[in-house]
Amino acid sequence: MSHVDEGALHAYLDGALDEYPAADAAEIRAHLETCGHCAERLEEERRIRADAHDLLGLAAPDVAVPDFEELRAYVARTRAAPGGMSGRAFRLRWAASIALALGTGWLLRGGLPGVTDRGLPGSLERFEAEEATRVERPATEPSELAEGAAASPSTRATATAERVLEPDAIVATPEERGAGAAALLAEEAYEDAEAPAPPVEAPRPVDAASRLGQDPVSSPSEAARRASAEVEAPAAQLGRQIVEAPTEPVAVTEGLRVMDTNVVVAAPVSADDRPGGDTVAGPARADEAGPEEESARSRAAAPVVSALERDAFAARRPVDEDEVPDPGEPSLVVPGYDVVSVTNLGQGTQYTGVHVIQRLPDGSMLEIFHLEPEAERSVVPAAAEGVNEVALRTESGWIVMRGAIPESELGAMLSALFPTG
Amino acid sequence: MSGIDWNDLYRTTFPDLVRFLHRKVWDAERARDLAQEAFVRALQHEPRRPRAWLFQVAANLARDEARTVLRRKKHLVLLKAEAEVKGEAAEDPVSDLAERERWAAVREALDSLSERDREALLLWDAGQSYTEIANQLGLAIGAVGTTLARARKRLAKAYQDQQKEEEADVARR
Repeated sequence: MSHVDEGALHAYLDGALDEYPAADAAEIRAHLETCGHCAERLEEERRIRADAHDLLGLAAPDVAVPDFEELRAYVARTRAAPGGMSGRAFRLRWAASIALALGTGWLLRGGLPGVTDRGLPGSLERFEAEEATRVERPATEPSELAEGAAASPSTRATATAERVLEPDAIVATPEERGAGAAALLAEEAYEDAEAPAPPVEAPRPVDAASRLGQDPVSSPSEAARRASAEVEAPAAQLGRQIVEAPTEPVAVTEGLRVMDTNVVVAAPVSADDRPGGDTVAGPARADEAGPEEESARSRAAAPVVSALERDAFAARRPVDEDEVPDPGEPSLVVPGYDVVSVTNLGQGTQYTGVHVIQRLPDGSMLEIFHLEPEAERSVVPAAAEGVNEVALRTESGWIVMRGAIPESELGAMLSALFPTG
Repeated sequence: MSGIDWNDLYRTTFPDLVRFLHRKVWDAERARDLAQEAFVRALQHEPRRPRAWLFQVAANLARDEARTVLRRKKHLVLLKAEAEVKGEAAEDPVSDLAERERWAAVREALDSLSERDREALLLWDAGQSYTEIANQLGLAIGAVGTTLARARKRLAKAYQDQQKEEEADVARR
């Protein structure tokens, strides 16, 4: 055989050859016994391996192992308590309600302004192309990414415009919040990487709307009528002031990068091609075989709420155990639309914010950047041609929203991120 | 409980899990808390392959941690201000300066790796098998060795470069 590659040398040193196919392992061992060149390389790799090991050892904390029985007793207590739930579970429950809204909200589409047939923002294409080279997780097949990009119509070239909404001027009225927001249901949280996906009963729009004390949206056509009325309403009537942004181009800061590599992308689904829509794909199971158990059809049928997305939603939860969610905290996503991906962004090791991509009913993509308070607005790359953008500075940082739809529609969607105004 | 000796699993896995988490959150106390959180969930769900499951959950928790760390910092600033008013100093989890410097150097070297290389290396160092690493990172078994070889090489090189730079700095002064 030809010489043994570095990977196999390390597998040999790590005692992991037994995990290789038996024939391969036998061949590698036999070669190493007879090849002087590879034996020398093995010694070199052994040194590198030891160096790395020692280096990591420098950063090993002293760990006192807490008493296991205490932990077990704690778990037993939380189990035994009627409706008992750990603080974390409670917090996640709130986050999960948003996740569930993604699964059910499609029924309620039309609560937000309708959108016309537009294309995929250029920056999204770049983003997807980059992700396609990174992602190798079973639940995120690169082919899905490719299909997602291919399924999008070409971008219509119109002038890019940027508007900044005055922070204080943005007040969402119940009508503006969108009926999708009404789908927030308190359900048990997806607590961890294994929790199976519970089937979710899609709420009837009228019930869901009543929960928020809104006028019930009695039918999809009514929702659509409201939506179109909103589209026509000038920004001033919506209680917002739209201000011209500086005209100079937005600087793209060097080094902005995607922090998470396992972005989950929903299979491309058109609104018409959605059979039931009443299930939410659960988070990736850590201890199960993989995606082959799930048919391509079922993957395509449900919006994907991944473990990563759930974590990102959960990150909107308050830090303190007993604190209730701040109703003024913006939602990460516009209720009612499929989430394509939620990605953490960073510069170097600095966490910068979250990048959300959602699919609008026309198949075009909506991008939302939630930046951290410390992050400059300019870390968001410039929008592609034909993509409009609105931005809002909040106490918790910039929110930049963009898509190939009119700014008034983007403004309304931005309002929808603030469920209680 | 499903034939798994949880006590034994806890004893053997907990330190590994803390080590794994520590190199992600760089706070020993926090790493311990997150490891406990992972175990609490494992006990609640009793996964069939608990060890791999624990590391998957730990990775998710650490990612969550990165997301909230800035927010927490703000809280800490507030808490610290309160403590100072009361005349109490906020406790520093890493009091030993030398230890902190060591951690910083390793952290910098680790940060120079790609996300996947770093993850593979940390999982290996926390006692995960090639199969487990392959499953968690979505790699082929054969690719794990290659990933680890690259990660180790880069880590050692990044650290050496750092040391050389520091020596050059000292020489310049």
